[in-house]
Amino acid sequence: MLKQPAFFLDTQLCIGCKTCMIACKDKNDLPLGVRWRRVIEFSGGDWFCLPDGTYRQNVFTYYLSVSCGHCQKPICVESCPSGAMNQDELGIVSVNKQMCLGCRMCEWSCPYSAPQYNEITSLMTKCDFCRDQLIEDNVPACVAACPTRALTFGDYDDLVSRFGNCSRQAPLPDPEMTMPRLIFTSHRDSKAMQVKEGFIVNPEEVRDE
Amino acid sequence: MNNWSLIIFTLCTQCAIGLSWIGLIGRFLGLDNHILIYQWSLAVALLVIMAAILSVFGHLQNPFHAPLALKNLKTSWLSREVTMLILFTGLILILLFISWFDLGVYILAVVLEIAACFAGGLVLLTMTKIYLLKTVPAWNHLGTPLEFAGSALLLGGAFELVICAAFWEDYQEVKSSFGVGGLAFLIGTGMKLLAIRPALTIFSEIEKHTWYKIPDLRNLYSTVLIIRLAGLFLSIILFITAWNYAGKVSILLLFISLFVITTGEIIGRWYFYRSYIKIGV
Repeated sequence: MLKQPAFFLDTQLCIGCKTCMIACKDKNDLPLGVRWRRVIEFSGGDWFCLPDGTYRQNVFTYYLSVSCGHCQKPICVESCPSGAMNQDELGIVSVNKQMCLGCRMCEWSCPYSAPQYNEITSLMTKCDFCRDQLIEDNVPACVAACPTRALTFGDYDDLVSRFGNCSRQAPLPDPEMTMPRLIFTSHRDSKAMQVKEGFIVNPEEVRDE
Repeated sequence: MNNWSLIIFTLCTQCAIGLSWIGLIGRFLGLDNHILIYQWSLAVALLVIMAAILSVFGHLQNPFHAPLALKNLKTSWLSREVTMLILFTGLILILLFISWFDLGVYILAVVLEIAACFAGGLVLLTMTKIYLLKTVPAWNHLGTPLEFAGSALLLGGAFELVICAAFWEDYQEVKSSFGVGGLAFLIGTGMKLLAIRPALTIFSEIEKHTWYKIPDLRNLYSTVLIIRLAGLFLSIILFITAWNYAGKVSILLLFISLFVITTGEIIGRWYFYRSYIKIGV
């Protein structure tokens, strides 16, 4: 098993098909409104009419498939009053249903909206990196389903040394907040975090309910 | 998210803290000349805190798991709040018991009074820290602690005035306690007014960090602010008017003032939870 598993997304290959999202929902039997993995469609730009009557455009779109970062500074674990949110020896953050109070403190704290509230059980739920699959040397459901092999996983340190990490891109939150183990490559149209250019096209699929 | 249980919990807890501060500090300063004011302040504080604790079970999805909330004192502000609340409630209960049955343990009572004041302050501090989240800019500013402390003094002061008025006819010396309650009321009002500016300037911060269309809360905030300021102004008028009367008229005016203040606080706290907009994804 990996030492510190982390998700890796090659944003140049991601086509935003959301197969990873559906595979996760299917494998974990998630109810309506609970999304452990979300695909953000980030878009912007416009068309411009030049004085000579021609048009130019700087329209862009790219996709970011985001799940729990199983952070190195997991704010959900820090804020959970009952200790239901816990991080194991591999760095995987999961929620213990027997201890969860449903106070939703973790939901308020997490900038990646990883803890998701299940209205039916009235408890918090979240991505657990398909730990049951990892134990059997299989791959997480989302990784197995990705048709373009944009989404993969591996040891965090190994991935960073091979690909670097461009997680400081819009619209992702500042990685310094929680130090997530989410590695993204840079898309040709990637925008810097500080530059207010572009918008999330599908907020209903991304935001907390 | 249904936040009514949190609205009731936070307001009732802050009211109880304010009421106990006024009762205890007033007694310390020798201003609270009548034991009945002290006892009733603590008794009402205790009743209000019980209401707060009952309401929080509406927020928890499994009330039987409530004791688990004490497990993460090391890092969780919510755990710390629950612990401080239990400590504060216990101290108020003991003080009330000592006073009501006149057990005569004066030095112990003084020590417990100091401890209760600190415990109330710690409850407010931990409650504030819960909401000072980097992910929720609408809450993460100086206005939040000012609002919470202001609510404690405003609601506590309003309750104290009603308690004083209830005994005024029979015990003229409680007029000094009336002054303590009124002072707390005015300080609470001042804190509420100071909380306006940070709350107004935060909107641009929220827009800077969100990547989708967010509801424009400026108009809603302005409406809520106007209603609350009108309520505060009316309450001050009623308070000054009540000062010049005694007996049933005074009690009635102060009850109306309390009702107006409480309604304003509920509206304000409803807006507070309504303004929950999380940055990030």
